[in-house]
Amino acid sequence: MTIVLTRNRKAFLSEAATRFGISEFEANRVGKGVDALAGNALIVINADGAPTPRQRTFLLAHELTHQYQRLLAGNRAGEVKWMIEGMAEAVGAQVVARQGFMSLEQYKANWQTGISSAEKKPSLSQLRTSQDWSSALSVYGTGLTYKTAGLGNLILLEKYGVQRLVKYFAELGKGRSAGESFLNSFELDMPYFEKDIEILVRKAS
Amino acid sequence: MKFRSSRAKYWVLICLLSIALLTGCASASSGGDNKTNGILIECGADISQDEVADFGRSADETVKYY
Repeated sequence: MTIVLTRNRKAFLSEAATRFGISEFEANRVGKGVDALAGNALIVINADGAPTPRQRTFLLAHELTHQYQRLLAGNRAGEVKWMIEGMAEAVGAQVVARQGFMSLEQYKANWQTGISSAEKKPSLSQLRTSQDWSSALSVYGTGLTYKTAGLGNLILLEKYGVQRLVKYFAELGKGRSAGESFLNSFELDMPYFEKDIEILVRKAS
Repeated sequence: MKFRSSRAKYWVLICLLSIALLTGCASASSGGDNKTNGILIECGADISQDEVADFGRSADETVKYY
């Protein structure tokens, strides 16, 4: 596994283009609004995008989680976007908490408050496909979209533990559908859980 | 059999991560490469040792977490 640290956005995009064998134009397109790009066993990071120790910790834990997810499920890891991105967010929060920068309760409260105070908010069921995710980023913004996915996964993590989340990706890797994988891992129907989170957020508003 | 295969895959993952943790070495050199937990951190120009240390600690903690 290799992590490449670059100083600024220009160096980040140039390094990403070289490492991933893509054009600068493509690197600009895929790197829009992000400070890390990941491929197979390779993560390229814009260090300027994470100026504090807490942010560096969160960013790398998030990206390493994506590596584990791909190891378990290959290209199917992103079948449900709120699961792949949300687990990376929740594990990022866990690792930050373990380093003592911020507690898990603070993360959960911040995410809940951020979601509750937003006028328009996405539900998890609107964050399933890549297309759903892209349009949510435009409609609701990056912060709110990631917080929603993160909160859903933080609740799964608290209730079931990380091994069940790992199991979900292992099940996907065996060729099961996302719904089956979710059911086999958490003994819950995915739409039921999505609705539950929606109710929780609505109550907190 | 399917259950066994799933468990085996999970334990292979855990073993790989543990081997990475046990065999990893941390050697910081100015402006060079750093290896921690079997994860190589390559530094571009002007990356400080503090930044490398933060990313290295995050890698350690994430591997331990899994």
